[in-house]
Amino acid sequence: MTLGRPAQEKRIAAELTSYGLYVGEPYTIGEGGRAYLCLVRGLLVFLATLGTIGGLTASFGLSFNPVAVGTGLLLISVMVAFTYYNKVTFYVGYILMFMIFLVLYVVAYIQINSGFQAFLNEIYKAYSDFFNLPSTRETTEYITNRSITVPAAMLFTGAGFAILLNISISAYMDLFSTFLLTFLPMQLAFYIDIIPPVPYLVMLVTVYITVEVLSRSGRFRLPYRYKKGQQYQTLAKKKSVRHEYLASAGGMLQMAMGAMLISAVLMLILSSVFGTRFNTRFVSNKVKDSTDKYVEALAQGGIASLFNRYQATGGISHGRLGGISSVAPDYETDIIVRTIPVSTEAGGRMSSIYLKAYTGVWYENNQFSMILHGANGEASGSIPADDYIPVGANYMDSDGTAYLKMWLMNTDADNTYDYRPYYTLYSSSGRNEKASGISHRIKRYAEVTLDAAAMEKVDRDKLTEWVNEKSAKGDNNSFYELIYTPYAESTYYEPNPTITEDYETYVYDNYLGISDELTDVVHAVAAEAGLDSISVSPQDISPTDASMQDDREYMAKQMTRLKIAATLKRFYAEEYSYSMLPGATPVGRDTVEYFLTELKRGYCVHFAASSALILRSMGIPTRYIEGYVINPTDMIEGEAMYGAASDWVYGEYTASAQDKVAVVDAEIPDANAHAWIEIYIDGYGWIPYEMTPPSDAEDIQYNGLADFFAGLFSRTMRGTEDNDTGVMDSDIDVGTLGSKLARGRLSQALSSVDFLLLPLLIVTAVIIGVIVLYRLTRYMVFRARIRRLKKSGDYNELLLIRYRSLLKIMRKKGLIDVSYPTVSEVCHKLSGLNENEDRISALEKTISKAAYARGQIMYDEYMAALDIIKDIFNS
Amino acid sequence: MWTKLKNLPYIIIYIAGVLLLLLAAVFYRQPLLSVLLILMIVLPFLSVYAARCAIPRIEVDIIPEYREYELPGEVRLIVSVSNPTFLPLLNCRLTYRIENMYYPDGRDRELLFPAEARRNKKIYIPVTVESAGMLRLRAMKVEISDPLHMYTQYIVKSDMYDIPVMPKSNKPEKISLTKSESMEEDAIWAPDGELTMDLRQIRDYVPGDRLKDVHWLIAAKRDELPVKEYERAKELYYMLLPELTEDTLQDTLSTFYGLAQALLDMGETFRVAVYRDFEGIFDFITVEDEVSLKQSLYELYREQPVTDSAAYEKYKDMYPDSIGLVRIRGREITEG
Repeated sequence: MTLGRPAQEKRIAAELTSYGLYVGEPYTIGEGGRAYLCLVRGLLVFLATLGTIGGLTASFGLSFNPVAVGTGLLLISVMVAFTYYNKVTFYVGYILMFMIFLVLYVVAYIQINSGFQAFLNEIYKAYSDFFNLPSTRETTEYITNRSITVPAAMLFTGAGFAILLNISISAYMDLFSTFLLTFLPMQLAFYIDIIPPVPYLVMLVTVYITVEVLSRSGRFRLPYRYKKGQQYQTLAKKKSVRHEYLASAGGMLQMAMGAMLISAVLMLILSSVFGTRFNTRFVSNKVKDSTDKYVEALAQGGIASLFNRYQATGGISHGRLGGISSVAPDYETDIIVRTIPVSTEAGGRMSSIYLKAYTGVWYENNQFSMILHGANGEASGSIPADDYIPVGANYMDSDGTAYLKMWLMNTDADNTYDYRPYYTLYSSSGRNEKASGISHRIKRYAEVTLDAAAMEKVDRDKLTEWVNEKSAKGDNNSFYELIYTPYAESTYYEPNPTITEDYETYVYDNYLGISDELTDVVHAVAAEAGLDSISVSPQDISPTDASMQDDREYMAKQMTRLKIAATLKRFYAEEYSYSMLPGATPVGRDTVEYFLTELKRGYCVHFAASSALILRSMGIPTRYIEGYVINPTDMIEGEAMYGAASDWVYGEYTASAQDKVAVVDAEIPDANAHAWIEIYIDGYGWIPYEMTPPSDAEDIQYNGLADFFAGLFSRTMRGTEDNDTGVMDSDIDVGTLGSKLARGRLSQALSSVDFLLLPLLIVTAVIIGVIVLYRLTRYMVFRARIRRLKKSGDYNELLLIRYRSLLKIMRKKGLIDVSYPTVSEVCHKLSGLNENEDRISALEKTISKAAYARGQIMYDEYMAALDIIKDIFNS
Repeated sequence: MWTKLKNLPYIIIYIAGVLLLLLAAVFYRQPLLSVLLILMIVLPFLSVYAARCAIPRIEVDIIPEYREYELPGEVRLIVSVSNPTFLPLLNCRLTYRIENMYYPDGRDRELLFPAEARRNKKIYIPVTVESAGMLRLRAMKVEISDPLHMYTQYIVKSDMYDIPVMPKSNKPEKISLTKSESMEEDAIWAPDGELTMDLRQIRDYVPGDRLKDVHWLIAAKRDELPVKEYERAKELYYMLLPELTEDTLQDTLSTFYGLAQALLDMGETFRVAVYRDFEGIFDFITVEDEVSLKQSLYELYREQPVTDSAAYEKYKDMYPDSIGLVRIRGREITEG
């Protein structure tokens, strides 16, 4: 900054009085003026602008005339840079540019807008291709002639960029903001492995290097802040006075040219390393995967899909679907159970146990409510008390029907409901029928089936003791004992004695309802999934039981239901994907409709809700269920012990007093909250059915900072089938878990950076190659010169070359500390190094002769001197 | 010899910054950015290497434009910068000092300048002077950093220039002064008055003889140094005694300079008694032309002014019989 005139004069007078002189501001004659400075800045702004806008446009395959656009952007950039020419241009320039900007926008609105739309369409297309998205967004281009619209949009956007970059480059010479302004937009291309054309990258890297170097020099003052012609500013301190040059336009230009050369070399190396061979499509990690989900949502649903969202923790959601963008469980224990693991699967693997809580009947306004709508669609109250789990007559094993005991403690789960495994006959919770879910009818059945003695086996003292042990922290949790008969898929069905004709009428009246808005959508998806054509012929039924021989029609109908459900499930697995970060439903859209038609990814709630409606559209009474699922892994990780079999198994299973069974205490976190459906089987009752497909990638599960960073190092492969939901995953056994755990963090970390190995190796090889080549070339040139001099007999020069090498070594060793030592000084030093004085003296004489005498030294003299120098080298 | 300095904090910050970005790039699977950042680590080494090659070839000097200046005037210093290399070095610093010996400044001055590639240029530093005296210009150090400012080399300079600034000439309108006589012959150098053109003898050289009296013609022919000794004319001469006191220093110099020029205009040869305050002795300078007048001024410039000069009293002590001494103090010219 310059001082005001009076202050300046005062200072000069004071200096003259005190010191008899005043040192004015230095200057250089012929130094470039303000215009030159502005021009160089404008050039840098131009490189950054064209590098970004041109690079981005070219990346997505939009063609434009680079000369025309480049010239336009150059003019804009230079004009923008000239705002710093003087105070008038500074204060008026920006206003003027804003006005021009506005006028241009108004005049060429349609062209510019169409250009943007063209750009967006190409981006959507590229992202859809990259992520294999089922749908592609498309925007309308009012003018389809892209040779006009694209350059118009480029120039308009470029003008905006130039203004911003002019501030970050011309005014502040700030690399960080320049980098953010230019490289972040380029991420649009980089993110999906598109590498922009090399010239644009060279431009950007040139700007980065130049800005950093100029920023480090600190000499990039703006001309408008100083007097015209002022080249230096003076900073007076107590003990020193400093004259700093304001800016060197020539230096800036030279630096930019040097940076461009380096950038070109760097980019040539990079392009040779990468080419088109490398992409990141199938390599990722947890963090990038989660970002990918957002990017996919953005690409498919636009910016609106990122709003109207919130993150849900685990636990049941009372049938609510809308507005949840992601699920991030807190992993707190919600329920603790003690039971015996059951095996209802082939191969004796452990089964998941579903704990049912919430039953959704009518779907409307993004929620599966408990409200009954009846056959005519009008609300007719809530679910009656006995509409819960009719008991199915299936078998645990060939030994006959068995009933298992479960202790359940609700530590943090929603306390509105009891949590009941399939099929609960008895609960000691003491709640009313609606809340406990055990109707009178079931209780009566249980009393008949389980004898009264079994019912009396409930050991309240032991249960209380267990609860006290588990809730040592003094929590006041609800707890109860349950007796249930485990449900197993694919087992033989028998008519259910608890089901009445009235109940079936009630079921058909209430569990086939779909709101009018969704009817078309669910029918369309059902048709797309091919559900319409599925039927099981009665002839295909081969009943194993004689009593069923006459009821093939009935069996075929029920089997058709199951086949339809299985087909729908397979359709989901093929066409939809599992995601705990699906993104929220846009405002005004229905969640099921949006999920089925556009989003096509979601978690259990989406799949259960939509499949309930689709199956209803196929005439299958279906309802939406929420609760918890106890996975086999929870039991493996649980606390295991052995207990008396007679305490935990009832019914036809005949256990002797000595039989022991494995009893497991499992802590069920909120992450195990789940949604599924129940399908009604005529005469049998409701059976739980899992519709959620396996996830195709591990979803991020943040559990503190440590897990977040662990996620960074965890490599995932896209496209692999790896279900981590645990739902219906019966393949998990101890061996698999062990092998997963055995994979060390280090190997994960290493494998997460393997994509860099090849490029790194090539870059290192190139650098080493350049160094080796440089040294080799220098050596070859040196040898060639020696040979040439020998041939021409120029022994003077030959000896002086050797002498210079000697000097270099002496300098390195610190024996010489002056720039231009005389021969005698050098020889004096050598004498002090225990060298033979006579020889050194001879050397001095020969070198002096070679350096100063007119004639050439003789070959013998050269050889003698060379011998001495070699001896010195060796010593 | 260039000495090296490393900007270690910046090197650490740079490398750490790049590594941090590299980590982010690796986590976010940005291969291009990752490799670019790896190459960015090469840049500092490149910058330092290029600077190490270029810096020894750069020459920076500071000199005054002319050897002597007059009041009122402007002294121009010229910083000549020569960068024959292809590397522009924008962080160059010259530390120098310029001060009037009468008014010591004690402040270092730094000039930050660019050394553009393949360019020889001159940077002019204007120095406004309002006081007569000897300006001393000393180049102290040249520091040059690499483009990324990670490495600096400096060279200590010892170039020194004394730049005399002549006082304003304050010529008296009329001179009515008494010439000096009866000076003891051995007391001063060449004390024996004006010399005539009559040759008295040719004798061997003795230290103290004027070079102009050496008989060069004979000296060239023989291996000896004969000196022409002239007849002494017992003529009278003016003895000027400028008294350098702080408050009247510039006036004293102007008055002395004006009087001396007036005397020379009149064809007079005179002597100047320069009092060496520190040693307490006098040096006598015979002034017979402009050159010797300037020499006498330079001698005066080397003396520091004092609050109250004791030159006259000392002179009277040393030469009690002398008469015709011309005292110059401020604008006053008095005979004592």
